[in-house]
Amino acid sequence: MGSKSGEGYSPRTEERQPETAPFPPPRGAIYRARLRKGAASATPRYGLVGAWGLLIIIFSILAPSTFPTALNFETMFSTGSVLLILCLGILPSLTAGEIDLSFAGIFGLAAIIVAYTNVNLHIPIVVCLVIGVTAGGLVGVVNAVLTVWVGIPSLIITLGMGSLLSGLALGVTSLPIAGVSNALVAAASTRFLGFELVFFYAVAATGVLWYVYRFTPLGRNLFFVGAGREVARLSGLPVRPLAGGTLIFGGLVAGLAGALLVGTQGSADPTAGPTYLLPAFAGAFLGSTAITPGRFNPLGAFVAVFFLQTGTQGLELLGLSGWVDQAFYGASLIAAVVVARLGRRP
Amino acid sequence: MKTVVGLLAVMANALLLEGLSKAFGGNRVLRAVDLRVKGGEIHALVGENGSGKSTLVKVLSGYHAPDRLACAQVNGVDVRLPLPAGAAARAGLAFVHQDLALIESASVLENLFLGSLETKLGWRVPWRHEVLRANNVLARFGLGSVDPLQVMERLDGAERAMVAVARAVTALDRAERPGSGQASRGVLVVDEVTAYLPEDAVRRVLGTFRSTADLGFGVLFVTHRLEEVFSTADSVTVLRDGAVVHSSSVKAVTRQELVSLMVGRDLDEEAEVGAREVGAVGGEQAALVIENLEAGAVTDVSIRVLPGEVVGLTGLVGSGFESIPYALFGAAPANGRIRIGRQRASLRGWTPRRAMRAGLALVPAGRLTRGAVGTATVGENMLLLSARRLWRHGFISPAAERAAAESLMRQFDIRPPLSDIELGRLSGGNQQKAILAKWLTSGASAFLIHEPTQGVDVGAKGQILGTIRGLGNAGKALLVASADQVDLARVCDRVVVFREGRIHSELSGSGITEARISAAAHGIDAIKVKA
Repeated sequence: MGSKSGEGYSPRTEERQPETAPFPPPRGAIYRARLRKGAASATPRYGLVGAWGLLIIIFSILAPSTFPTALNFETMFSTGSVLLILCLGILPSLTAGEIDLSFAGIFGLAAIIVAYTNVNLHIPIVVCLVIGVTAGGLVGVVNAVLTVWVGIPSLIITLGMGSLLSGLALGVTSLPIAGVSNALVAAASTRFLGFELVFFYAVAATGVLWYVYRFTPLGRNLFFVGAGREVARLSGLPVRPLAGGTLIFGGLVAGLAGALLVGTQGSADPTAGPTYLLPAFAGAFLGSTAITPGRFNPLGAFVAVFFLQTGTQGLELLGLSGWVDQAFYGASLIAAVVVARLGRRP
Repeated sequence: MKTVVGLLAVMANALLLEGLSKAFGGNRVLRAVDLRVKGGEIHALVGENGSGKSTLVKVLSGYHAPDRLACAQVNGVDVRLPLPAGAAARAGLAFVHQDLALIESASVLENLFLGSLETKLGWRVPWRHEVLRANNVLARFGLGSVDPLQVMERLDGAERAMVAVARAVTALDRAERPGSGQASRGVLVVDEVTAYLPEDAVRRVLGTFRSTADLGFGVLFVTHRLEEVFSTADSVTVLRDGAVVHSSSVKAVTRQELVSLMVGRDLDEEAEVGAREVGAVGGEQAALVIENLEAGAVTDVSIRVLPGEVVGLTGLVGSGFESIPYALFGAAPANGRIRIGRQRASLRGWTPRRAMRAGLALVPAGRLTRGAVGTATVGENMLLLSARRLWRHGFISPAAERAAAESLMRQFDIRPPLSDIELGRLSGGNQQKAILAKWLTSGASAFLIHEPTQGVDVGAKGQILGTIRGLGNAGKALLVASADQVDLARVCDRVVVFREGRIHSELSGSGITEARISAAAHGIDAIKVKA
């Protein structure tokens, strides 16, 4: 079987190999190359963190009596936590190359379901939670089946689904439902070290997702499913279960986030859901420019969400209200995507 | 049926090229090529892969600029190459490429007259008039039974190609040209349109060339299939390594002579293609057995590969060999049976996951579209299949990852040996090595490889082939599907040559040379080859 090994390299048809550095290169050379690469890439990787710090400084100067206070920061971190959890819920689907626009609708409807079943139907709060989260999961399953198995692009399916669910929420009630069980409120908004519990849940969720992304084969596989679906398929990865699974995950998390929102407010507002759509996407995309630029990642999302929260809260303290939020989220989203594209090799 | 114009056109040159040269970097792809196509004649352009045929067409169509060109004339009028987009028809050149560029969801009429619909006042299209016009055009090209209002996607392969030809000629006809009313009316350039069509379809398409020539146009068609040259063409030009080695009337040359002209370098002995020897090597347990495979364009394929053997699959473009690796891996639908080691399975319902579990590996063509993800790092790509193995105590340790990646890079000599740069930044050859490394970690016993050295520079080619040989020496069974017959001659123990969807012959041992492979692919059974 080795008969051809000699004849394989006929010199007449082969050009000389270009001279390169000795192989393997000495350990020092590799280390120095890494260091150089590390220094060059620190700026884009942690730029967002720097921008966040800058924002805090600017607002502290502009509103010295209201911004740099403990109360303000506590509010900021608590309000941003539900958004962060929502954002983390759509991160896997974005990584896998799907776009889930229905999460805001699931979120809003789940909040209404939890509140309605608890307040109007007098069902124990724990059961209501289960119902809410399960409902979210079921919607996720429908999304998954229609997208991954039937083959309709996720963008279209989830757009319709989101609208459908938001409408349903309004159909259940047009006015906020108040008077939710104190147990839920306590579970979400009891203060610990000054922060509401929901903040710690968000931190934990970030940590779990970071672990999965960084240290598990699942995280690696999800990235490949999104970055090169055909490559993933030809490498034997279970593409459909993975992609579909991320949509189901998104539904479950959106349901959970809805329940947590009810806990932080003590009530459920049927119009609240859709207002979280853009901020969550803004957070995910802005986050993809940080820590691991070019890839959706949980730590980046964490920084991004609180960066955005700082921005909107600061602007409100300066007296600009309402419209400024949307403008700020929109501008951040555009800036994030443009920076990410320009940052990629030309 | 020749027209008066057609008869007059015979004298004039439709296309004249003199001294066309083109190089890419240090690689001279066209060397002082002269080409003359007369009006009313069908002129075939033949040559092996890499002979410069497609570059010539690309220069004519304006995709590449020539380095040197002494003279270029269409219908006796000088043209400046490269032509800007849209100027080709005005200059008298029309093209039909292998990708016919038809709009599937539009009607035949819309496709035919794309860009040349007649309009009345206010851009109104007189549809009834256009339908009559379309019927005339279709009849002239042998498509009289096709309804012009039929949607394009309903037509079969032959009709599609014929519509593409009709469209090109119509565009030529309607374009205003300087000095129109001349004897010759322009040039139709057809590039490998018949490669994937069945026999009867090919005959019909060739009929349109004849109709076009009868109208006075010159037809230049590029093909691999020598039968077409002899059945349809009036003249033939042979390119080899970028130079014209022969140009004459078709009657002045035989098929064997054509093949030896196309291939004939470095060969100074008489050679005979070996007889078919499938299944001759018995006794040892085969690593991979394919039985009655039917997939894509091939049928009735049965091959055995022993551990350590490198078996090549090749043929002309369209002969079907290129679909085999994907069919065997479950990436494309197939029928038949497969046996890997001791595992047997039917190929119906075969999937990549099952193939991998049985011990198969697929290294596809299209490195960055199907083989690996360019935006992922070298390490991530290489270790994609060993992630589970690296996952200890709930962690994939970055240090362990880096060590594993570096070990692979050392083993396969991947440069630069940095595991956390994007794969897309490596050269083609190094990318390919990384992909081979990835599949080595899967523990596969049989490798299915498609076009391993496509887009890889000469220096790295030898390394890739050496890696393939090394895998064979390590006991793997390898099936290499490639149109690059030089590569196959360098690395394979056996080469199975396909023709028109079936196995034509098999070469082994010292009988494997580029000339013999090429001859077999063209269906020549015995050739005398001269230096």
